[in-house]
Amino acid sequence: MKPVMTLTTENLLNLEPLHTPTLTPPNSTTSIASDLLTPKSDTSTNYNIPITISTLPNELLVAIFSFIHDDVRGTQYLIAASQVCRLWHSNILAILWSRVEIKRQNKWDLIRKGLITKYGHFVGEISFYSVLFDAQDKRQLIDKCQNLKGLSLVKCRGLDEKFLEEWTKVNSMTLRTFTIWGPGVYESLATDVTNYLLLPMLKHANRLEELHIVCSAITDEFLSDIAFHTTTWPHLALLDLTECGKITASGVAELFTCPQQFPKLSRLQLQYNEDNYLDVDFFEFLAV
Amino acid sequence: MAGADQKMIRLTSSEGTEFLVERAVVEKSVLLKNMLEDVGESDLGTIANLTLLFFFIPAIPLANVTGPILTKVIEYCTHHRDDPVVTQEDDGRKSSADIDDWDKEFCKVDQGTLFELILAANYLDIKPLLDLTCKTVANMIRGKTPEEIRKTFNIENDFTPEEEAQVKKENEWCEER
Repeated sequence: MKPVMTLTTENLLNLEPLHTPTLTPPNSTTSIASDLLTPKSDTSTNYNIPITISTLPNELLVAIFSFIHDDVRGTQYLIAASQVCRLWHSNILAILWSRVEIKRQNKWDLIRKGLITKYGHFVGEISFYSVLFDAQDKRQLIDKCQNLKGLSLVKCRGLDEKFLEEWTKVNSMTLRTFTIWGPGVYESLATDVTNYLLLPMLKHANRLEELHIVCSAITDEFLSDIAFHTTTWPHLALLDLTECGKITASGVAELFTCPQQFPKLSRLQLQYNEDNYLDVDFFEFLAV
Repeated sequence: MAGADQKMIRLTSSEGTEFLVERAVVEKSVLLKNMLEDVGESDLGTIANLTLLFFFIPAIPLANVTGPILTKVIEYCTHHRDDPVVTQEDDGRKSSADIDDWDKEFCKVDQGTLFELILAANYLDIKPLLDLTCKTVANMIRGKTPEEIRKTFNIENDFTPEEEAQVKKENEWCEER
């Protein structure tokens, strides 16, 4: 019998026998899986090697870095940490590139020349705000960013249906959230978001959970297309049609005529529109 | 007194040291909880007599965890035994400022112990302990220059000067707002 180490935690103090124990036959208590019972020889680990941060497996190093990434100034701290050594650099790159937010054209200018080609495969979520895409940009994004879960294109310029269709196609297995904003009142140079722009890409986006179409010129015809023709939407939970002024109540009603197309749909966002008045009672009727 | 009929489990560390621990504490480890569930409730008995205990209670050997680390793990699990189980969704990825005083004190150990705790928490699948220890290390990295980090953890700089310059250059886009 091996020596027993008695712990001084409070739970052990309660251990004194207070009454006669009811014994069960030994064979019923030892039916535990034999591999659990047999102590393994303790030569499997070498205790002389000191455990340092460098001996941690990569996944745990990444877990540590992820906590830093969640900070407000996380990116800044991670940039410093990425300069520590090669191992840290390679792990942190994957984290830094997992979520890319491009709020200004000059940030995109830093990335589009080479970096997106080098690290695009790390990108899981990417958002662009009023960025202009040229033909080369579009080619690079289609070729390199093929692992996207989230894609957001807010008031961007130079978009076309071919680009969106191809890019969605290579990401069809992973893409969960898609957001697109048209020009609206500001950014009048931004690409117009029309039926024509969106319908080809949506064929490949049937794993979407969230679809945001904002400031667009899509029409009732678009809604009837996604309800009947494009694809089915087994995972779609949120459909956001804010500031889509051409949509009318009858278009929205089309969505409800085919509920089996949208088994998971639980939120529909619309905006009040003077020209196309939507009767709330009407929707309550539809939602039943 | 709840203790008298508490179900006990024996855990054996890598050196063969045995620990007698309440099942409720052991079950903070998802790995061990699943193991015990596979074995089944009735087989573990409710024996409270210490002298007889060892003949009836099966031991679970933990070849990857040393005695001193197992002691710390049990200390943690005992303190947090009544904490609600954290689900995947609200896994509280809050900033590391939210470590409470007891946990902070618990993590005041040498680096070797801290990293061994991370490995043990990972192996035994004790998510709150893994998060706590990882957050503690994250706090040691936060706000430091690369050189300060290297000193803190005794890491060798294996970049060539050219590589180092390139890493800095490639990171510029992150700093751009």
